[in-house]
Amino acid sequence: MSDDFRTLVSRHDLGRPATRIAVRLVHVLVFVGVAVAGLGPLVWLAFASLNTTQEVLRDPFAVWLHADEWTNYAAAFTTVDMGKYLLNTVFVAVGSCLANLLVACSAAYVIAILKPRWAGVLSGAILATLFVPGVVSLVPLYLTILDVPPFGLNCRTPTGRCGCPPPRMRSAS
Amino acid sequence: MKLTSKALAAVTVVGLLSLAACAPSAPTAEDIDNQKVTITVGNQPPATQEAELAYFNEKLDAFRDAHPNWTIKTSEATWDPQTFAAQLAGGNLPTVIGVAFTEMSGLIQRGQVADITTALETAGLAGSLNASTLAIAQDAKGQVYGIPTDAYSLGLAYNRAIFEEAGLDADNPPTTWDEVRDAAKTIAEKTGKTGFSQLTKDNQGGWILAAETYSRGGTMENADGTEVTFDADATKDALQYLHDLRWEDNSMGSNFLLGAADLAQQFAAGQVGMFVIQSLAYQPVVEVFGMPSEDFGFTTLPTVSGDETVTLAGGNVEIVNAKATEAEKVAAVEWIDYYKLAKYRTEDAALEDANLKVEQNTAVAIPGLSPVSDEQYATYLGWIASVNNVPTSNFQPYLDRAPKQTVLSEPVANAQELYAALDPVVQAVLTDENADIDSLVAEAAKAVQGKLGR
Amino acid sequence: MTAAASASRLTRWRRRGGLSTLALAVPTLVVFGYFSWKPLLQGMVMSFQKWNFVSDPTWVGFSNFEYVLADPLLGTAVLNTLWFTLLAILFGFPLPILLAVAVSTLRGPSRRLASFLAYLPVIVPPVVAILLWKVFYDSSESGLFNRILALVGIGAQPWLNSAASAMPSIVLEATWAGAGTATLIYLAAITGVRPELYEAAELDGAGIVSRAWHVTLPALRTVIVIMLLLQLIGATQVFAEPFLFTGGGPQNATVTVLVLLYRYAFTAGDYGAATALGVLLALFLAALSAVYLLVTRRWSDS
Repeated sequence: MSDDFRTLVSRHDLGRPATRIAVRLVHVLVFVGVAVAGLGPLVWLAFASLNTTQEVLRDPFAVWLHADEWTNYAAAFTTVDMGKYLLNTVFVAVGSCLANLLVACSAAYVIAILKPRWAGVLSGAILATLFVPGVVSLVPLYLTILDVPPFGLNCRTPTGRCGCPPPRMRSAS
Repeated sequence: MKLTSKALAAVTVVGLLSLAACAPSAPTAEDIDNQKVTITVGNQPPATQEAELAYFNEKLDAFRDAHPNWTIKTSEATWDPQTFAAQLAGGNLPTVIGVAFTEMSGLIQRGQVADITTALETAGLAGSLNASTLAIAQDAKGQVYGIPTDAYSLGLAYNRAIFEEAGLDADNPPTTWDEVRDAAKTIAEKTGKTGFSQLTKDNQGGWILAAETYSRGGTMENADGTEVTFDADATKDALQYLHDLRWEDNSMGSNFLLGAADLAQQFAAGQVGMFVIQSLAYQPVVEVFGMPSEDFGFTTLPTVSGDETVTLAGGNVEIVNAKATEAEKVAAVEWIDYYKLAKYRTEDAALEDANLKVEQNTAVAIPGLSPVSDEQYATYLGWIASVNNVPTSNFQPYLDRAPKQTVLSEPVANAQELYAALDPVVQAVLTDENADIDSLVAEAAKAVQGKLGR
Repeated sequence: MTAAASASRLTRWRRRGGLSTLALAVPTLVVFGYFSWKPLLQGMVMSFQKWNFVSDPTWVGFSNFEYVLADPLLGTAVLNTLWFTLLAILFGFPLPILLAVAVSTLRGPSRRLASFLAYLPVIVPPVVAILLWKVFYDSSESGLFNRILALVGIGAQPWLNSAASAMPSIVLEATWAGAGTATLIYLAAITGVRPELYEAAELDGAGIVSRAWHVTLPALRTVIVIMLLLQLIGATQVFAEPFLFTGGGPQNATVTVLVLLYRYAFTAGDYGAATALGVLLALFLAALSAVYLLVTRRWSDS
């Protein structure tokens, strides 16, 4: 376990009572802080999800008093079809994760390890895409994904419905 | 003037088109019925709304049978300003889609919606629509760009339970702005709840302010949409009124950044006594946010003197894709009529529609304005009276006064931008006690004037 | 060009990987080229056009730019964006570093638990988080935050309902939502610090704070430099928070550049103006990044 101790705070530091108390105090503060900030809102959300709309709206402070509306969860899967949307989300998450890994790893390897002469230009061009807000390319991007010629892919399905909805404004931060 | 070859070509094309329109061989509805036409109709109910989808499909099958040469595709697409342009550019916007009244002026101005004047005539529908409601879908020259299918005037929604709790008469709601102020004050004092509230966000602050301006005899723009006219007493009085309720009476609560959903939620939760909205709000407030339907009260928009009121309408207009051909436009118009307006024409269709809505626990007929002629609408209400699940007695104050109200159209040019410029003005009088109404209105007027005609 | 020169150039090219390097860059070039750079350039072209997406676009020169620059709301939007960026960096930049350093001194399971808790806010979808905080920010006396403040004797705050406090309230939520990711990245970088450095510093008599300042922070240099740049770019493009919390209000106090851009595109349907503003913002950010990288180059390389 000695490896575990080789951080900013050493075993020797903890030997001094004053330092030990100070370090412990910081640790307690950090724990309380992240627990309140990280867990607090989620706990409230969890309780609120077991209330009726009216109960949450009338008194948001009292959500734990009548957290018994389990039908909300059933309703999410029956009336709103959560299952289908979760599956869609998994599909998008896995797909974009794989694509991201492929592109990001290969690009990073080229730019940082192989360092060809054009590495600077490439990283600049990638950084530049961050500068332009999504709306600028919204319509052209949609036209782009409607027909992807090299692969013969396109989203105009035979039923006339568009398989892919147009991109929306993303949250920027 | 220098005529470039492109301009010349355009002139020639326009000439040819107008020739074609005047030619004696203009196709009749029957001609088009025999042609191969393909349209895509939007707003198909999603699979989760089973009964509504079944009704849609039933109508669709019948329509297909009646027009065997036409191909009718469907799409679940609904109006969404974020995707509209992309779909229009990509060529896969449905041929028919529903939009809110307020969007019409911008769509017409930008040329993003089809002119269906001729198609309406070809389909023989031109005369059957309600002229005053149709105005929302017309430009200054009277060309028609859409068919209004649901219309509701803006009025005063009030919580009957709160009225009773405060000792007010829920069957005789306020008819003048002064009475509204007194009632709001009483509610705030007796119940501790918000007496009167106002939409202030998402351009709806400007929208409601426009109705309040109309109710005080003012206007927002001149008739041809070339000049801003709201920099005048009616608008300023309406703002001063809000200011006084907020800062002198403290009867407007403590949340002032309210979109339609926010306010509907608070109203449904019994935290708000009154607010200005269209009667259609009954649906989200009762069906989505769970307000008991007997608590929902509605009356006409108050006025200064209690006389006949002037108000603004809101609702749904079915529009046709700007890229549609003349034959597609005719097919689209016939579908809109068949799906949306047939219920006003025959008792069977009316009852079928009504029973379906009862089955779905959704409102059958909320008192509103008529998309068809007033007599036809009255007849329709008679047909469905026995199955209507909306407590129309709660709308009695509105129904009593509605025949005498004048419903005006929205500003003809840049309506959304005009409303957007007024949102911050409404917010200012509610969040800043020292807001200078005169200069705020003057600045907003200047900003909107700069956008007219762009 | 002489044959010798071209031959030596070829050798250099080969030494740097030559074809195989290029092959490895293909996914990046294809994906970015087709899905990013091409639509971006096409979008930029639209800033010089007026187009209703029905008929052919017409070229209008710089008139979209003139229109945007003459909009009285642009100045407000720029100032609001700078104000947000300043506040967001002031709170959102040091907090994750401090948190990561503090968490890194924890050991074993408690360290994992602390980093998990710190990351939790990121798991909440942004829109849900904003709607959640909107409920907390209810400015009546029964609002959640106001109830908590009342417990410690502080009166009800207007939160989003006042031009003065709306932006700080938005920053508070944005910091909460964004700190987790940055903390994890810094934590990962801290793990890479060689323990011998701490030991050497300790032998030299450096205290914990002094070690953090002289050993941990310098080791994080490159990460800090790039994180600050990304935070700057992200803060300048803030959209979802003001859009969903306040819609730009009250009294335009939270209209940011991207909220204005959204209004051009989707309220007014004016893509010419929207893309023109987007191009102006991109030029500003490009200049900012260039200056930033130039200024920080010496520090991060040393």
